[in-house]
Amino acid sequence: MIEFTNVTKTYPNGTKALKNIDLRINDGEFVFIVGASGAGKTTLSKLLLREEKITSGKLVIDGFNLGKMPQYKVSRLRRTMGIVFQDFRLLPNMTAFENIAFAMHVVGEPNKVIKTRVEKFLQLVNLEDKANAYPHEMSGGEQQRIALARAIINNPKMIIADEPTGNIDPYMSIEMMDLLVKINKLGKTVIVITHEKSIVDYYQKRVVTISDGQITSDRTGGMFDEN
Amino acid sequence: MKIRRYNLVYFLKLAFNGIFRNGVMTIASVIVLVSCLLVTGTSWLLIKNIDVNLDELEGYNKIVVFVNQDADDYLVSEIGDKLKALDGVTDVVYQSKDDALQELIDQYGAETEIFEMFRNDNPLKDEYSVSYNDSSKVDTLVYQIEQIDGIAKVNNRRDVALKIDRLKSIVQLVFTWLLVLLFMVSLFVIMNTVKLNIFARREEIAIMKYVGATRIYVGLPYILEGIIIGLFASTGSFFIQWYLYQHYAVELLGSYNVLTVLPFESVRLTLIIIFAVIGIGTGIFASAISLRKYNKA
Repeated sequence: MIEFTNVTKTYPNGTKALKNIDLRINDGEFVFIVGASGAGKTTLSKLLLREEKITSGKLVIDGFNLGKMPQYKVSRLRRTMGIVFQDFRLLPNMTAFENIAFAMHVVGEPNKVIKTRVEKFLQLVNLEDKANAYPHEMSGGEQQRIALARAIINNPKMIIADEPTGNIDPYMSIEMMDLLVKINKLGKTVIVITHEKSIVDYYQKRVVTISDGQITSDRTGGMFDEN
Repeated sequence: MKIRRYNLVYFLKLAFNGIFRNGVMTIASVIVLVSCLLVTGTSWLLIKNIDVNLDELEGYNKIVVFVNQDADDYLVSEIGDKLKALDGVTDVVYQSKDDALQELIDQYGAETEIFEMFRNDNPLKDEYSVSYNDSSKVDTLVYQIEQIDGIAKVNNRRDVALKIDRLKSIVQLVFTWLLVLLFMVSLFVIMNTVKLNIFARREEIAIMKYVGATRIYVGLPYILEGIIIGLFASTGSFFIQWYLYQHYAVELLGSYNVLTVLPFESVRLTLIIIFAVIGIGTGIFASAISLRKYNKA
């Protein structure tokens, strides 16, 4: 469970990116975080990842109090999450197989387990024939699917996808979102940060709208709030 | 609790990749660290050898008394008797000037021609070697000896020992400052080498952190890099020091039989330890400082 209680984030230059955020996301929920550019969506995702620390309030994720958590526990927190970025962030000098395997290697999984599991996940995202391809040899959609496979290979409890369809075509966007919905049906919490109205309207999930650092609406089965 | 297994070979591979990726910086790091270690080794060997020679001098509770050139045999003998009668004197050993010349010739082995011309006009003096038992009264003893007629010069070996001790302090001071300077430069160069490698892999490191890599996983390749640089430097320094010491100290200086020079075998193990600790320690320390910034989320 994720719980923001009166969370404020002010950057050192004085910018108040988030103001008095109260938000609760239960285990297994699918949530869209929407808003215009500069609304505070990215800051919210950075707080969840503990890339930034809250200025005031309380943020708890599965028992981790992020405001008081020591630095060495951040890696433990991030192992409960899978992250998908708009720009994929695959390592250019590694193949698709190696990019996915990398996430398992980092957590100390043995090579035998890595090989078996990565092969299965490549099948899951329909890219088993691209195992030895490098990122520059794949389309945007394929790269994003590899990034998704990397995000879920360690069986995290939640997925945070920051503009996952930003750099791929509409057809592939739907395919990507379908995958995220499937992952959510397996019991994972999925948080999608996006500004794409069509995606939000289509999937009819819980929509939390942020504007000027504040939550302006929070609707289940909702549509993109243009206001 | 799940035990995480990390493959050391994988981290070593990353470390070596980093070392070869910035070959020029790595070489610079090794060179500077070698300089630092050679200064350390040289100063330590110098001080060790000074100490050995110092012990030999200080161990001799002896005063060497030179008799005037024009003293006849009777006066020389009288001086000997007076020296034996002094309070605190345990032994008096006489060496004639002819015996002293012969001793000098024997020391120089083959090159004796230059000394032959002195056989008829020996410039050396008859001398008495006076041993005493109470170092605290040496000044009084020297004074009493100087009052004896026919004495040309009194050499108190303790004075020589004090001078050498002062020299040792100067050597220690100079080398310490040089060492501190070189150590700082080594640290700086190694830090920059590691920083360059961290920068080259920044994308990879960022993704590592996103997927939950621990500090150990992120930092270990760079710590290993520091250790490897330190190891290269220590090994190189040891062999260079060995060559220099053997060639210049043992063979060259030692052949003049003026000073005692410690054989390299007697100092080898300690030198290895000193080089290993300082070399590898510097490498680790420099890498750790470079990593600090990247250990923050």
